[in-house]
Amino acid sequence: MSDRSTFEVIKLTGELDVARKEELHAALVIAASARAILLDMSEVTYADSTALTEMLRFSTQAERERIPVAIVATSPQLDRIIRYAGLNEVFKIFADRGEALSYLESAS
Amino acid sequence: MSMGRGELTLERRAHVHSAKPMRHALTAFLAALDVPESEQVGVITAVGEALANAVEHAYRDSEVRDVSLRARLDADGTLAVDVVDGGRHTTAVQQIDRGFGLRIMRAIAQSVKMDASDGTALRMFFKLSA
Repeated sequence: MSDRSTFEVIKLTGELDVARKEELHAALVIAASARAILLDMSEVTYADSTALTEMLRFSTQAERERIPVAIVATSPQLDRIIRYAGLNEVFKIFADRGEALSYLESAS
Repeated sequence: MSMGRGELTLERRAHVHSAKPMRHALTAFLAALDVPESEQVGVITAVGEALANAVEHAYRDSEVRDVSLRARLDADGTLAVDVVDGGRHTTAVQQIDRGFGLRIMRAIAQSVKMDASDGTALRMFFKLSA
């Protein structure tokens, strides 16, 4: 089992809309020490394309740095907007934290 | 002409913090008309994109604008939603869209029509279970 301390966790909560653009931009940053990132969106109840754009920027940067990112998403709205935007093929989405951590352990 | 089941009209200052209360009001309107939750999610997601685009205009210049939302549900399950940004600007909707917005709206709504000639007006139709 790999060292969990190298997993960085970023937790976002509530409604991620256009009003929270700057906050999202500031929160979705890859720490220099990160080997793998768990983006916990289990308490996100709504997301708009502002959030998707920031998530895509973050995920693209992580991929460039070869840092795996697992996203935990449970709200039906979040799940659906990711699909409507065609990003379900791009993001690694998991229904719970355990599955996401297993993925990160195998990927990092 | 079909009978209306309900109509909602809202107007707010075009500000990024206005999108959320407008979405919540639309959710309450749909819930009150017994629209199933799974259909509410689709409508809110599509209209949320239109509202986000409309309120984001407010930061393009110093002119104070309003954004209005009108929703009308007919007896046959047709929901018509208009999102109008009352400002006078000539920017095409496509240019102010943040990339995913139109794609999302078109994936959910039966039709999406735009008129950027006098402010930005966006009309969406949804076919809900009657």
